[in-house]
Amino acid sequence: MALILPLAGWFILLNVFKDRVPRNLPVAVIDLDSSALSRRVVRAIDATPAAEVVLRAPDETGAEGILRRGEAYAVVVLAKGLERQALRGEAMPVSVFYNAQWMLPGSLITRDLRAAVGAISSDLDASGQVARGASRERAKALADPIRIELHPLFNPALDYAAFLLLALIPTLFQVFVLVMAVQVVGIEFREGTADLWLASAGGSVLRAVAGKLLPYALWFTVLEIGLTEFTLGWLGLAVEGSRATLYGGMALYTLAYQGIGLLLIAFHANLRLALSLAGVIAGPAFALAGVSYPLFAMPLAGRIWAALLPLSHYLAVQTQQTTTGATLAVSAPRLLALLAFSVVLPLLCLPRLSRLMRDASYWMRS
Amino acid sequence: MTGLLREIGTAALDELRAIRQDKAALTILVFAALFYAAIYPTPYKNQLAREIPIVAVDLDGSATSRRLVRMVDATEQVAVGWVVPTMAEAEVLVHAEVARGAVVIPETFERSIQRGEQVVLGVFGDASYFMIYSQVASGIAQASGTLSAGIEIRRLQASGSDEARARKTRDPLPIALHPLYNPSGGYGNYIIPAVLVLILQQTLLIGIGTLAGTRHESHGSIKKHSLAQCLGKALAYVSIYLVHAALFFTVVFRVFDLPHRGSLLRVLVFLFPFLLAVSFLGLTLSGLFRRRESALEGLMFTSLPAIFISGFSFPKEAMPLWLQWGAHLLPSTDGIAGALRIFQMDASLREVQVPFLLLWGLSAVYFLTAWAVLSWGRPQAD
Repeated sequence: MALILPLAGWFILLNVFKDRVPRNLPVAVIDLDSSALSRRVVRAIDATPAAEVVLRAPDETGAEGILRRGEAYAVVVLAKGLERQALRGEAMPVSVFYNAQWMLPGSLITRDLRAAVGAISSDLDASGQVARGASRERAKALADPIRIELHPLFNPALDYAAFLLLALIPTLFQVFVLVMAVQVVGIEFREGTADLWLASAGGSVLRAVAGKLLPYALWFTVLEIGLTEFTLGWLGLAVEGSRATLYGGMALYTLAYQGIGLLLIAFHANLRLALSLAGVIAGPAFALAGVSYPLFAMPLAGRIWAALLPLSHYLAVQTQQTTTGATLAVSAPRLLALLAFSVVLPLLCLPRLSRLMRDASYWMRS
Repeated sequence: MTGLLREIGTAALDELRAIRQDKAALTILVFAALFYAAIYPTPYKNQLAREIPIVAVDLDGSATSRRLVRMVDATEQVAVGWVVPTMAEAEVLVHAEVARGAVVIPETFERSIQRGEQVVLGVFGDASYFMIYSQVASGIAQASGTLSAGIEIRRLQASGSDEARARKTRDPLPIALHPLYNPSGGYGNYIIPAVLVLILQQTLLIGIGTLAGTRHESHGSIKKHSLAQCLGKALAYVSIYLVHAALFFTVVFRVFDLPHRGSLLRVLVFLFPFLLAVSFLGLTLSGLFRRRESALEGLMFTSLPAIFISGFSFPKEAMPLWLQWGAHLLPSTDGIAGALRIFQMDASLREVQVPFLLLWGLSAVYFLTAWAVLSWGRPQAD
């Protein structure tokens, strides 16, 4: 539970994202023109990094069936007369029908196809202008007066797999940290041994709780740091900010989920109920953490919920410290939030816990 | 034969009664499944990040550059919150995460355009977040494309061609992109249907494990089951979960206004072997759980790997082969693929025959393992 399962989960996720940027995703082509130009387009599509032409259909009738059977993520239709019209300067579009329900393949394929077809088009356009007597430079400027130069900040290779993978490590661990905290504290109430536990700590509820939870916090933090370091190395990513801030945040993050675990037990001293609530907290957490879908685009209820999750605060710190190279001041509000969960919350729970540890009517529930 | 059927029916009713009496199992199998389906979609209600705040660096300060800034601001994707004259000021805003991107208009912007030279716009976007970057890039590209096309068409018209013709010459081989099944590109439309299928699987697995844990606590071991009892249990689970599935694919879709084209009946027919496979998998695993809480503890973390190996968010083609094949051992992999193709893409059962048959195969395999576990009735070994 504390070693094998986290390692197994991490190992599987590492392998999911092994290739980093998906390549050669299946695309089908329906070439009704069979001209030099249409063949050029097909070759260009096949040559893009994202797409690979795996299927050629003879006519349009089966186009949607290809998508519905999952044989390709996109179907490119090259209509009859494509070449003739293009050379006359009468545009006829290259039609791409793509499966937008599978979001990532759809966007990768269309991005590459847009570039490949666009390159052929401006080449044809420039040739046309050159034929009419303009210089090549001039023709290019005429064809596209404003060119855009994209600078993806903080992630120049647009390597989202790396980001996702790094974010998934703490996401995976929140479940283990939370469940383990609930389990080791809750079992004392469930088995009716809370008074013995308290006695063994010399009657101090603080010492009892700290003695039980801190070794796990240390273990999970060390394991998380180890896996994060290994993953960073494997991805070839540098830490742009400070490792001290990053891993300090990770320690607070681990303690924060123990704090929540303590709160769940302090609530009713019921292990099973606490575990069910842990599921409610941990289950949808990644969706609310702002990694795959930005927080500011969520309705108010979503933003409030996200603010109550240590995961969203820690992932902000992790992104700031690993990729944007932010200063401590930028991460400070997030770290303070984590501090509240990891220190203030457990302290608030202690009086109630101490009462429960002395009241046998709360024990043996399940 | 009728005797066996009657036995199965009795066993199914017994199991339903057992679920009603076990508060822990009832919470998970009935309430948790519905609760998750109701709350999980909430963050995605708005579907897309719109009007993302960006900063414009106007080094030119001309009428044309101001026009471009207004056009960028007018797009749905981004909103220009600040117009600053230097890069340094923009950098401060971006690093403080106040602005999520920047458009840089070069000094010679207007003059170059008038002279017919190509100008280069710098677009900076926070690429640590996929959706933010793509929205910023597409918003600015859209505005500059509109301005660019206007300029070129005016030029061509000046040289004597009519507008329609000018438009075509500019792009002799245009590309027409037709997004199917999620035309608006909404994030909720994308993720919610898949997660609903995963919720069915995860709550059912944990619920079956909880029932087993409760029994283990009261009997001290697994009871020896007959074939009819094994089948009857699965029938009980499948019937509860077919109702859940029907609610998910009607109520949740209606409440969150998710587009779909397929029929409910077809998706339920498809989900039958999915739920059967999950039920038998749950019964197989039930030998592992000695306490009521064990299943929650041991299975909660599996949702994350399960959704990622299903090939739904990250394409399966990019995964190593052992993982692509191994992923089929989880019913969610084929369950998600087939249910989405049917309900979102209106595929027929024939068109999803591969996942459909794989799920029947999986049901058969897990039936054998479940029966092996239940019929041996292992002695207590704690």
